[in-house]
Amino acid sequence: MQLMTLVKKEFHQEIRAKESVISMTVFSVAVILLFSFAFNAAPAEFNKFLPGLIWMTFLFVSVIGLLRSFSAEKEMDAYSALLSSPVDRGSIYLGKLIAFWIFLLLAQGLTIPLFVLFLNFKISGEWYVFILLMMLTDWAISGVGIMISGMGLRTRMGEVLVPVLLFPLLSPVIIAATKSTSAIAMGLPLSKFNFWIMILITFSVVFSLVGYLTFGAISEE
Amino acid sequence: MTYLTYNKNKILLFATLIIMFVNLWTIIYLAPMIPDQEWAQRIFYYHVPLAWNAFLGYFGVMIFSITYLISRNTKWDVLAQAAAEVGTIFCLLILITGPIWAKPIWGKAWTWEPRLTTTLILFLLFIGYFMIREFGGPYERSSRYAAVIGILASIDIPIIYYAVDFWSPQVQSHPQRDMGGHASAVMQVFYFSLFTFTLIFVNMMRYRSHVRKMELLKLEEENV
Repeated sequence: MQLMTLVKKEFHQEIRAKESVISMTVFSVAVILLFSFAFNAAPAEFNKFLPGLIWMTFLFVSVIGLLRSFSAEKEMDAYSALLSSPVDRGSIYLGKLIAFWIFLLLAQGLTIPLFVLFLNFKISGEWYVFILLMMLTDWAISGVGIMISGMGLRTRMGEVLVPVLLFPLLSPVIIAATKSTSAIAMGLPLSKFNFWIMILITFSVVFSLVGYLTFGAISEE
Repeated sequence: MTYLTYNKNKILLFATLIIMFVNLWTIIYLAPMIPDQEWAQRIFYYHVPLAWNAFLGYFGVMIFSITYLISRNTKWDVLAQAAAEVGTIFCLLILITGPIWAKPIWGKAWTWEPRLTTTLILFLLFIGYFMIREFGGPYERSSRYAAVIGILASIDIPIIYYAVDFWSPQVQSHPQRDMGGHASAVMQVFYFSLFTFTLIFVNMMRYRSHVRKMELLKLEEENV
């Protein structure tokens, strides 16, 4: 119940301010545009790099979103109000996590067609497998991301700290997502990339749990 | 009160210095030549103990961070920071000594081999750890943040290792995996070196946590 209220609060904020999803989408469009200029020289080779580029884009996009995710709390000092309300700190974390996860998925849903249209991204396998992969990977990114941005944005240099901490922590996620995307794009069966799905599931479960348990320590004044 | 005011520390430091020279002597004169590697192999007596020390440091960070978050006793935070600093110095030394060995033996200084990649990522993570200590705001808060990052990093390391291992299975594997095959003379020198480096580690941990404790005391006095 509490959790639903917290998620709803995030949605209200997003609908009013329209900060996260739009800034994330616009940023990815800009990146796609640059990619198509930068890699124009070798269109034949380009498809091999595309899964990696897609996840690099989404990683940068998630940083943009994460930097916004605590901004309202920071500017209006709504964070203190949120913390003084009788909700469990772990639920605040989960609420933020679920909301950000949905925003990230929305932004990606708007961006993926552009990858298909401008950069010729093709999937020989089933699309729904790729969507499931996106959902899983985004959960992993959001789980760590919300924790890091919860810390980073209450420090000096938060804008630098978030990517500096996030990128190395997420390296296994990006490897796994890239490998799985290549496999799905080539139409390989699940047995060829189930190891990567296991990595993603392990990562998501472990880090959401750690986030749930340690968010109390992060959000204290 | 300086670190060397205590007799215990003086004796420990002195003993370690002597053992370090003995260690150097055994590595140069006692260790047998390995036929196809010649002198390049000697770095093994440094490189592996360095990695051991880095591991000790980072393992310490995980344990001390968890105990700090539970107990909120500054003592553990001091130890966690000391362990992180010492661990990172050794981590940097691994990253320097590794390529020195790899250049003549593998023919190139760096490959994206799992252990190398994991060490590099670990090093980057701990740069972030020190940044959050530096910019995290008041002492109470930044040490809590650092503890969380310490825990996150130590959980992430095995996942990173397996991911990278599977990512590039064709890359030449690290030599340490078949270490048991070496002659016993090699192993004796190696274990002595490992012991020496562990002593150095203990010295550094004690010194660093002593200095940190003094800094915190001074900070408290200023606040009173």
